[in-house]
Amino acid sequence: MSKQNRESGRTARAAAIRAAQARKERNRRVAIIAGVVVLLGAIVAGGAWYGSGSGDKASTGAKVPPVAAGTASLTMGDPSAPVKIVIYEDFLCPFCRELESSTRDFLRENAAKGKVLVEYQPINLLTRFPYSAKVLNAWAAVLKNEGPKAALELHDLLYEHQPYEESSSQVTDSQIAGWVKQAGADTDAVRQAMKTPDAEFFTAAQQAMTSAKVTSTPTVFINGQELPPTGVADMVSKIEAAVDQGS
Amino acid sequence: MMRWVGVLARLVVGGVWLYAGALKLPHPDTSVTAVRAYQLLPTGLAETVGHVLPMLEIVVGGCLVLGLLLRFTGVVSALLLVAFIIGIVSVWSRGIEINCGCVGNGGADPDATSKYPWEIARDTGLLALSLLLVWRPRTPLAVDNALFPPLPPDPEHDRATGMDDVEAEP
Repeated sequence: MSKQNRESGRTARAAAIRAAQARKERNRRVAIIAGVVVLLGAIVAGGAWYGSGSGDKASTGAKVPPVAAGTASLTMGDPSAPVKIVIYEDFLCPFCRELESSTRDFLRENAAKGKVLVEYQPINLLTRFPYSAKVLNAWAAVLKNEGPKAALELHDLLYEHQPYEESSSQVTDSQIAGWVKQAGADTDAVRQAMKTPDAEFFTAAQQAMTSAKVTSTPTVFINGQELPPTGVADMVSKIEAAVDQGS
Repeated sequence: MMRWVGVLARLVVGGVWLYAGALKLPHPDTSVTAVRAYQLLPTGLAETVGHVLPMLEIVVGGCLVLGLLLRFTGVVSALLLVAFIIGIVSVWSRGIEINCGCVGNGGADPDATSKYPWEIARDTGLLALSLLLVWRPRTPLAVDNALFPPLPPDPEHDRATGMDDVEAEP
């Protein structure tokens, strides 16, 4: 009887030791897993943060280059700059958005330094989405009534808030008016001009587009030479190289 | 035998993730455009996903190749692939023609519709391999084996327990 008791006491103790060891091992594994997961998460977050920061560095406080209004376009920089870049773009075109977010700060900085003259020529290419013409008309109203500075502001805002093509019809007039206001162009004249399509502006934009044989956006000319549409990342590096070389 | 199939699965799926991520990493803006092309996520979220995805793909791919936390990375890999398959099915059904942006460029592509079935088939294959690793994460040549050595067999039920299901897997 007592022997049996000792016997079962021993197995119980052994089981308790094993259980303690298993618990310890489990804790060690949980600690390793947690540590590695946190480390991997930090790597992913760090990489993403670095990537999102490298696109637009020091955008605020940079010197503002001189701007001027063309017939249906906007120029930025010194007219005697050695490199002239013309960008045909549609406010709804996704690749124009990418070109914008990839080149904006670089071009602005170099235009302020007098190294490049940039001409933004917004056009109405995506005609099957009414949004494209609607915001282009708003932009024309701002350019004509409030001048190039506000128009450049609105140009930036329109790309920052670019909707998806398929849901662009959901953007309300008051949202567009809000961006105009944010650009500092909320005046009676602009509001009045936004109500009716500016035929003169659209004709001029259309003419610029046909005379340059532009059939897609973004189309970029560097000193009159059209950049082959090889993908935005590649076009961006060619633009940067041309401006850096000064030719 | 099954264990070496697991190694092969790790190398194939991990290699694809590393390749896909490495192509995207130098061009974060392109990655954002590729995510936006699906016109599925709210625009702010699409921006974040576009920035996070390349790095996530590289980390998942690296873990699979090295054999680090295989069950966990297998789950992440499978979830990503499910999301991609949903994305492709969604653009296909909405009639939007885009390059899937899976490896490298994304954006409009007039021939896209003919490619969608292949893309879905490819992602389904990778999904199956990922799930294999979730099911049997113990494979040779893995960092996991050093971090989590198999427990000594419990004498009370050491029969009937194969290597693969002895202990809680990472």
